[in-house]
Amino acid sequence: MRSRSVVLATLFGGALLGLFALRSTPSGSQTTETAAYVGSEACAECHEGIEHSYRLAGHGRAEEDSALVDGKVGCESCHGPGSLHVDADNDKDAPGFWSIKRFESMKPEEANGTCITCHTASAQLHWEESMHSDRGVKCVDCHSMHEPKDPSRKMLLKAENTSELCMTCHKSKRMQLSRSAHMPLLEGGMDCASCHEPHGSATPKNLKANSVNELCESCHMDKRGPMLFDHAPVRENCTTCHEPHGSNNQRSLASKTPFLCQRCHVATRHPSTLYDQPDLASNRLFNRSCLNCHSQIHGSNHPSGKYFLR
Amino acid sequence: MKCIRLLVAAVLVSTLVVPRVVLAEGEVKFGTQNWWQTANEAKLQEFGEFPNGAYLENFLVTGKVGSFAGNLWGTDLFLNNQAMGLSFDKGIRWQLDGSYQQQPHLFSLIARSPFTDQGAGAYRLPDSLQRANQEDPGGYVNRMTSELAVAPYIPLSHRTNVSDARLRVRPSRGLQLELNAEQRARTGTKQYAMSFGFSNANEITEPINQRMTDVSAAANYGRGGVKLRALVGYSRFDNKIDALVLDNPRRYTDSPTTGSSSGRLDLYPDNHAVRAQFDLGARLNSMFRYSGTLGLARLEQDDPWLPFTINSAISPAAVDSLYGSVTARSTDGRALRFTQNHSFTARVTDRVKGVVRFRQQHYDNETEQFPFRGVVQYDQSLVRDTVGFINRPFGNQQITVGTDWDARVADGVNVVLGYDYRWREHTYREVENDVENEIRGKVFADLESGIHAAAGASFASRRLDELLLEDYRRADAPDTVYIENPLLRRFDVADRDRTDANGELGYMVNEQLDVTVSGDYQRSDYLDSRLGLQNDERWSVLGQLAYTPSTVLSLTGGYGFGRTDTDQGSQERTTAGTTIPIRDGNLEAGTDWTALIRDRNDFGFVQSTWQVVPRSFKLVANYWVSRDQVKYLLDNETNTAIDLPDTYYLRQEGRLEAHYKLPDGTDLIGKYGYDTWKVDDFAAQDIPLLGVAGASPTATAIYLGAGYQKYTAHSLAIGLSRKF
Repeated sequence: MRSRSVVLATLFGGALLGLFALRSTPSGSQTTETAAYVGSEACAECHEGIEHSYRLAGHGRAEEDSALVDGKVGCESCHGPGSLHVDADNDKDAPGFWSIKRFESMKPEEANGTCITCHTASAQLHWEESMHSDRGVKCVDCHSMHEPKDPSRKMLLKAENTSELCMTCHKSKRMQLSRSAHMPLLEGGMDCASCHEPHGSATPKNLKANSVNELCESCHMDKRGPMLFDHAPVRENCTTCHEPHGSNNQRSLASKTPFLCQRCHVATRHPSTLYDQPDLASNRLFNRSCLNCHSQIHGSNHPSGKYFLR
Repeated sequence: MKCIRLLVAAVLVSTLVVPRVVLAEGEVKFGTQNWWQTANEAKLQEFGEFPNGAYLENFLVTGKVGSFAGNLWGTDLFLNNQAMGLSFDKGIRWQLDGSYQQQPHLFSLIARSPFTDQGAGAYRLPDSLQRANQEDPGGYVNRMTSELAVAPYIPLSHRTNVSDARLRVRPSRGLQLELNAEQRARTGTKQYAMSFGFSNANEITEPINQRMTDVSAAANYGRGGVKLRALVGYSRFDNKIDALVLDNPRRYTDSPTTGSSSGRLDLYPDNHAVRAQFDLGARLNSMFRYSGTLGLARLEQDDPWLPFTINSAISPAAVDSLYGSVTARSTDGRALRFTQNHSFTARVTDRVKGVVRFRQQHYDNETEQFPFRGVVQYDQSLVRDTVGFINRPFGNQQITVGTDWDARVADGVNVVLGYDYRWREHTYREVENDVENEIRGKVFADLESGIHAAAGASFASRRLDELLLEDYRRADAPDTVYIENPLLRRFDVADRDRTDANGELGYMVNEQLDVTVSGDYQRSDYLDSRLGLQNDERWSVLGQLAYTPSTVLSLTGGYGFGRTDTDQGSQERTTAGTTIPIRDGNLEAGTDWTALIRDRNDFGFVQSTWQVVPRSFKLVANYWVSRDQVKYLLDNETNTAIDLPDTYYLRQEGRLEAHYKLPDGTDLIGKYGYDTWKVDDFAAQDIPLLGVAGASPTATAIYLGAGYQKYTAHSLAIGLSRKF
């Protein structure tokens, strides 16, 4: 919970700073022409704490293999040449003080362009076609190079987990995930990035797999089949029956059973007087409803399993 | 567990002993907590263990020796939702990561069952009980009531242990090679069921002992305007328990007509998949960019079939005759999954950008069809059918061609217009093809006055080409007899008009106040559906504000309201029958009924931080509430239908934390937590162990009694957080 406040405050503060910077500071490009590279040691003289963490994190380790990043290592590989900044001697009124790149105040294309200099392929392969890129989301909106909050520090997140970050913008998802039946996102067992690729993918909704079913089956391989007797919607799209972002029906079903089943099946072979003489103890109406008997609803590999009873 | 504790302790101690030798830093957060809960309801700990006693919330140790570096981290250690990881690298050329996570899923703490778990998926009842029930069926209810009253509590939860490892190698500039491996080991139980015929449902646990393994290798290359990724992978599912065998509470001996002494149900079969994926992104020139993917996966499943029945009283010759001409004894299921995506992006001017997309998604189920001559569906009696029991290897395909154009019409204002054409194919369904056209538009505005606005709408129209009524009919039945109502349209393939709209307005009033309001709406009309889902309408609005009146106080809060209305129709029959006679295409209209389901959902949250003494003492308070009420309004043409009771869910969670920072950087933390869950659901509460007598003949069904319970929980914790 605390992290939500921190994230929101950070984003809010960052936005304010960005707005202020856009209006009041000269752009980096105006001054970098005369700036020169001074090396990370010069930065460490003032930014000792940051420099210490930097050396332990992935970006700092790039110095060990500078050839892999075309020799661009150290603080200035991202922040640009720092001689004018150093020469300003912490005087914020000096023009050179603001000559280094400050990502909060940079335009998205410019800020992200720095990152994708190195982060080109792998998870970022589809970044340039992604909705996040189109809508001006910056890498530093979600990632913090110097003060990451994720427990492993591997992803350098601005929050303790991806979901908290996502829900700062995708607000309605927090509402859905707070429903009674949901996947363990709020509890930390998984996060939005378990299913969605925030850096973009070729699949609609930025899914991490090529289709909804392929994604679901990556954790629920038991349902993958093909079975001897398949249930058609199971093979087409899991979200025909399940609400992946949560519902108030058991197993995150899109509707309460038996009504969910009766969207596609009328009462054939179930000659009940269910609805004009409601009997709440009926095994067709309560507990798992239809699934009290048709437990093999994801498909059966049993030769007597056509109706998902065996 | 002991090894993990020792490893963690060793690493933590070593960082304290040798901080001068290596460059190291880290943090640790631990404490002790007590909690109280008014009812033994599992919901509070559904996906994680709530600490009751000492806890280690998280730790991180990062160290570097020369060019080698590594880190070890963990969260919720010693609880059943723990996670920990280790990474080790030599610069950015070699990186090795591994992690281990436990994902529990607790269903109920009050489930009870008279069946004894014999292992390997077998659940037994005392022979004497089965014999007594068979010989004296009239005494079944009293006898089972007594038996269930002393049924022991059983665990109803499972846990997935996820282990993964990844090796990344960057041999040269722009090239990255990856090896990934992941295993999910899932063990435990969850609710399941086996029926021995109508009115004889038996709820039981599904015994879970499964392994899911996935390995893959990938090569990534990115240089200049070209980005490539090639991946091959293999995944395998192994179920260590093939079948569930359950004693029939009503019978001690097998009978060829009235049931067997036990039933056997097939559990998920082993399966495996091989996949390959190729991704390409290329900047063609200053104006055009191409992005594409090709994905191919081969899915196979060849678990041997169980026999048609476990019922030994049905003669083996009769059972064998059900195979008919089928010589196979396993499905040999095969499917090919093919996906391709291609998109061309054109930046026509600085202000106009367009993309044209093509997507194909094909699930080609190549599984053979088997014309079985009948079934023994409850292990009860053999039902012959000359042609009716043929499996349908469902396949599907979707092709989408679409375009989106984004134009900046003014500074900070973009207009996006798009169109999609979707063609779908459904193999062995009552609808073989349908086509959907969608148009959409959206406006985004980010104005320097602090206003952010977005509004969009879309309309999609889907039409099927032909409803194949013979798919609703038994193959051996006359043209006028159907097993599914001809007026039914299954909503996933029915004619549909869908309207979507959404909007968001954000206004940064000043440096202290930021307000956002968002909303979305969707309505789907299933135009030709007399029976089945007829329409679905949902909308929600959510308001949120962030208020920072001073540097020491920040508040964030929001409230949302959502509503989902669905209308559906179905049919009720008063007599048993396996087929439905058609009368003038309007089948037994007097028995049609409708259900209007009205779902109302509220959500609210408040988060606040008050720096009482700057840099040393702060209070953090968080609260959220989610409430949902559903009405089930039923109607029929004779006005005898009665609405079902409303269902109601309420979940609240509150947390209050006090943080005091000592001069050396250590944080002392005190926490109070409050949780409450109120539920009123006729289907999920007060579930009896034996179905109670009612109007319908279900008094003999056996349940686990795992119904929801209302609860309130309080927790109190003190802890310490320290960076080193």
